[in-house]
Amino acid sequence: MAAPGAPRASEASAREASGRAPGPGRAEAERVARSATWSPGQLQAHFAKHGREGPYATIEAYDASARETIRVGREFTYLDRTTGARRRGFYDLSTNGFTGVTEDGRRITTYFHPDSGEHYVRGLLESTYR
Amino acid sequence: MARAPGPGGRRPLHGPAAPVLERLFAARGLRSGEWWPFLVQEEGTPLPGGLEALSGFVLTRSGDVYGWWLDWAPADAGLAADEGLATGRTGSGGIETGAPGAPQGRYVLDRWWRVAAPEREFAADAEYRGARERLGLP
Repeated sequence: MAAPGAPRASEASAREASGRAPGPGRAEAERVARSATWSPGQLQAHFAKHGREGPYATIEAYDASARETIRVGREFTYLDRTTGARRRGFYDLSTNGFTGVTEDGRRITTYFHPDSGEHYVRGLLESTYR
Repeated sequence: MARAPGPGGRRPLHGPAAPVLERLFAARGLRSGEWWPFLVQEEGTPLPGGLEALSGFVLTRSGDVYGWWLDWAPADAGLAADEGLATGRTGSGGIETGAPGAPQGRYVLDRWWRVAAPEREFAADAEYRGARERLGLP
């Protein structure tokens, strides 16, 4: 597993590693990466809790990495165990980065580097990650 | 998946964190059945009590919204009487205590903040609108 937040050799190799194929899904991911927002206070809270998992000198760098994971990561869906809400997840194998967003792609709900990598995203409730 | 009971039910949540959130929200003055969580997210950190760290928001029947982060404080960090002691595992009924060798500590809302103008901030969030509907708010 690559170190969390490790620099990417290139965008193309990152996409190859993550399994994302070019096509309509990429355009949608780009839309989400550009337009999704963190809910009030959540970017600060997530940076405080997860910021040390990667080489993020600033909150802006952490946010940018969350959005880049949406762009290059493999997309899947899962359910939040507390509310049953469906989420869209993006997992980038090359950086072990995981970004969660709401089903409509409007809100970023988290970004972190799970200790167990792919095993974690595969184990989320009703995860479609394969 | 089982659905949670309506706003008049005794347990407005489902899921493994429900008993802990009930207790911690009550310690913040939120009465059972008078709130609904939304935009909740598992945060990948397994806590000694058995749950995973969570982040999210809670809407109250008065229309206030609070952001929160469920975390764990070890016993040596001190215990608040209204939050209580938790050791080891979390069973279906909530907190188990007294498990030999289990880590001592308690679940805490490590972060808790009030959201200003929530109706404006969350106007476009389907989960917020759903929470309002669950609480019978217009």
